[in-house]
Amino acid sequence: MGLRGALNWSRETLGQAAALRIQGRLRDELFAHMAALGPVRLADRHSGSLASAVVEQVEGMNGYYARYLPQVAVSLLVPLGIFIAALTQDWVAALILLFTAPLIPFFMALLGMGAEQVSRRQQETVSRLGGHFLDRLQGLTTLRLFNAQGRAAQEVAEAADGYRATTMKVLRVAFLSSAVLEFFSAVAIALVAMYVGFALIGYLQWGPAGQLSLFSGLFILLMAPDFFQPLRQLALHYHDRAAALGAAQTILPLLSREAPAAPPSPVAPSPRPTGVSIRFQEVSVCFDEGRRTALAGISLEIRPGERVALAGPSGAGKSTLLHLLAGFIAPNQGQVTVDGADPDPLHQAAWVGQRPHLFTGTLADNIRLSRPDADQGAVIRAATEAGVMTFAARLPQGLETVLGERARGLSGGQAQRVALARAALKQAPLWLLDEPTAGLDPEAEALVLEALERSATAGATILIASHHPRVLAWANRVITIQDGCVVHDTGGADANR
Amino acid sequence: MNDLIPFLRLSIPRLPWFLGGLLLAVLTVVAATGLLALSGWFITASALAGAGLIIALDVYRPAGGIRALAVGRTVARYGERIVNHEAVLRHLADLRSWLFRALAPLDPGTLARFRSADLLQRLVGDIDTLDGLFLRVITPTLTAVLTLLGGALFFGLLAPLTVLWVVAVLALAGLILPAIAVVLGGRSGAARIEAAARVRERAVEGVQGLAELRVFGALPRQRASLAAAEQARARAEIQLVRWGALGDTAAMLAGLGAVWLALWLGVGWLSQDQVTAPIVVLLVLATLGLSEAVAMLPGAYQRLGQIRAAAARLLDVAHTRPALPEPVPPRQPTSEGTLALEGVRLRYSNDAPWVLDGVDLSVHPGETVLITGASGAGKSSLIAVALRLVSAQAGEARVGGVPVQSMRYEDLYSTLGVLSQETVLFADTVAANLRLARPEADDAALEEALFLAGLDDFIAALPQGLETAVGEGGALVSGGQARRLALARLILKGAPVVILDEPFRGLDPATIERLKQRLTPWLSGRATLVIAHEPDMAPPCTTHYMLQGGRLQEMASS
Repeated sequence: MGLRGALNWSRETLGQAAALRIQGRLRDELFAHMAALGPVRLADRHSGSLASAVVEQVEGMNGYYARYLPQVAVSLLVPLGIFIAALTQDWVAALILLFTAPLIPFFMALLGMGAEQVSRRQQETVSRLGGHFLDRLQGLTTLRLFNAQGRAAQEVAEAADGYRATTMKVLRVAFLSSAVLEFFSAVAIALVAMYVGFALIGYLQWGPAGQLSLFSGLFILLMAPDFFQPLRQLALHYHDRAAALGAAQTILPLLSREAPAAPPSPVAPSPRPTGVSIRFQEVSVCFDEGRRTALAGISLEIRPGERVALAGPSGAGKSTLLHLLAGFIAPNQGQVTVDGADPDPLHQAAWVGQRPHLFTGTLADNIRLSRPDADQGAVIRAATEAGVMTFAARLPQGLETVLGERARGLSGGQAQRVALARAALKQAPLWLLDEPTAGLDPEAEALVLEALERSATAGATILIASHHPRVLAWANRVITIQDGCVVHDTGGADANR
Repeated sequence: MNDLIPFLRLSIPRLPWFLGGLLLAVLTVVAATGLLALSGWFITASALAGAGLIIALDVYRPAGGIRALAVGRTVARYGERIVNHEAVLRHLADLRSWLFRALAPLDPGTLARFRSADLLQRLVGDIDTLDGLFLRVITPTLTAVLTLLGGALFFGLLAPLTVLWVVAVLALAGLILPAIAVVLGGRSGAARIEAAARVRERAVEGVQGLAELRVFGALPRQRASLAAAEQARARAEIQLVRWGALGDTAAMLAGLGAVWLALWLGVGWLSQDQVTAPIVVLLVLATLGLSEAVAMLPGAYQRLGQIRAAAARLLDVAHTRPALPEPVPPRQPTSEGTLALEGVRLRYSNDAPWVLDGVDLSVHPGETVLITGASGAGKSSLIAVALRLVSAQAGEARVGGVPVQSMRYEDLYSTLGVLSQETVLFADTVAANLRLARPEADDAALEEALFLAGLDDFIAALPQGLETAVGEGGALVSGGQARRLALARLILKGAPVVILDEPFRGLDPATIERLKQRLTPWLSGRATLVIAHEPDMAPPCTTHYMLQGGRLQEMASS
């Protein structure tokens, strides 16, 4: 009894430990792959749904490794052992067990075919649900301002109920398969019981039945349920296998999206930036498998230390140009080179997006993003350059203030200045800025432009997408882009020819 | 345990399902135990009949009983699983809806306490954890209690009363072991819930901040912190599994102990001729069957720790009260759309400087009032007061002649429309995003709003037109297009009082010019308040104020 207990305990803990290790590795790899794909290639999936792939779907694999695989081994070996034991007592009873057992895997396979498909649909629902919920949670105030919370709550209720319905579909298949199994094992046990019973009464005289003792009869009868027990358990865990297959089918499309070589590991950026030169040769980028053209054969040459403003209507391709240099996408045609080589944003570039993301942590943590070991002095310098200190000084904890969700508590302009401080601390030779001064008042804008100028005097090359007259005036070259083509360039002609 | 009581109350609407599930669960145990017991009795009786010790044995009725119990057990177990899962999943769907409704009335200041990734974890992960409460704890416990009571009664009828010791051993195992499991599992359970929330937060943050993480070389750190959260979760999980498996093993051993006790007692009675041999076998096998009812309890109770931690996290949200609740009794707007601020003073804490220090302002229908001012001058705070997203320390905002704090939010926001500084679009189609403002609007109304927002050409060029998906937060359209979609949404709403916060942010001069022309006639009948950094970035105004030092200062009108 003690041995059985100890073994049972080890089986459960060891299986789970192995599964958790696999789960950790898979989660890490999936995240790394998403990171390699980058933000632009993943823009078609909601971040809530991507996060749910990393969280729920990875966990969906757990049962397969923790329970299903170990059980497969158990259900092969244990019935075999019991069959041999039964054989020593009464070969007819052993044969009854032997002939009923194969029915079980057969029926299971039949049901399993349906189970996978249902499971996959369920996982898709889970992932959609994650995106749906996150989207609504992040827009709660907007929903309220449009008196739409009631409708949103209704939608959440419907989504939750849809989730219940698909989950029940999965469970129904799983329960049905174990019910079928249970039924067959009951039939088999009943056959054994009837055989043993009639043999003991003496109705059966042929074969070994005549010599069957009460001990052997009870022995066989007590072992019969244990013969089927592992198989029944396997049927229960078959659901784990289906869940894992379903999860795998939502994870695999992500993993199989072709990612460029993983971004190299970070090396401390060069402390004294010298600007880089950039060359676009007949660069084309299209999205949606060629249905939407973002850049149509652009050729450009940008010299070290140039301050280039990208102008043009929204949607013209300015952001795409910056995304190429930031390494988020690669051109479909043509070539982009920075200092004659492929862009290496990790070592070369600083990025300020339209809506900078601020992470959990303090203001200082956010500024230190590129250099976690940067000393306080450098952080304060960068914060001062970007005009962060003007508002941080008024906060009770200064730069050590912890930021809330989506940097609530900071205005849009303040968040952007934090992003600029982050860029300033990196001291990168290439600055990529996507509408950085939108939403900044003249005073803050002046501060930011000064910060940019300080970086520029050290020789950094700057590309800035903006319409602002002040930015256009400050830049020493303005490239106007429309419908994916350069329509006007104030400084390009002499450089190219 | 107090944390769990609200959830029991919330489950009341699903009570018929839960009771049905309980009944089927009891039937399953009864059928399984009966099957074992009756088979054992039958075999022993047959053996005795075969040896001539029993003269007449009716083989047909017991055999029929065995068949009925075998089928009954299978059917009851299938039904029990279906009904109990259906009950729990319906209850969980109720909980998701309940939690979302608890969040919906919260003001932005209160909501800022939670990160949305964390809220998502509560709405999905924590609620999922609660399934164990009914599925593993409550229903199995009640099943064990009922079947053990039934077993005691049945045993008492067949054998001397000392047989009740057998049931007592089982009951004790079902009582003591779960109690130990609760204590042992509590801390790891809470740790697991906490670590799971951190895993989700790191994952969401890692995905949403991917651009910054990549360019600034912070990916390895994000990856490492995800892995660290994962490891903490795995540690807690393995701890739970360890204790759980230990508890289940102990319960199994206790069950076997009870079986041995039954056998030992039975052999004693048999030698004194108090019971027959078939009854002894029946008792022993029935004990084996009943021990199944307590076998899973320790493992289930050990999960109670995390169930309670999850419940506490949900209640934390559900008990959050809006800082600015609905007024009682509410008042309806009395006059046509006018927006007025009277002597408004606002600061965010008692020792902070006044952000607004006596602001007086009125905007009548047909007027367009422009407010400019430096960043941090309090322009957004002024709007927040008008929208009742914050409450002023002195003075009040009136919309349609009624103070905003005595209007129902629904009435306030059907009079007052706002284009917020931050563009918020939902991961849905263009049409769905617009219809947020007016669900019943037809396509023609949508197209008109898009025309006024200068997006008619853009939408016409899209192959899927209004049904084009805009992506998460509008990621599939450009920043300027997203801004104008938000503007079109506001136009569709058609509120008589309109607030525009940096309406032309991120737009190129040509687009701004076109928008100014198209918007002017639409704005002409409305009371409009515009916030901008400079007059160029706003539609033509009738009055222009500068916000400085918390006060408004009238400027020469442009």
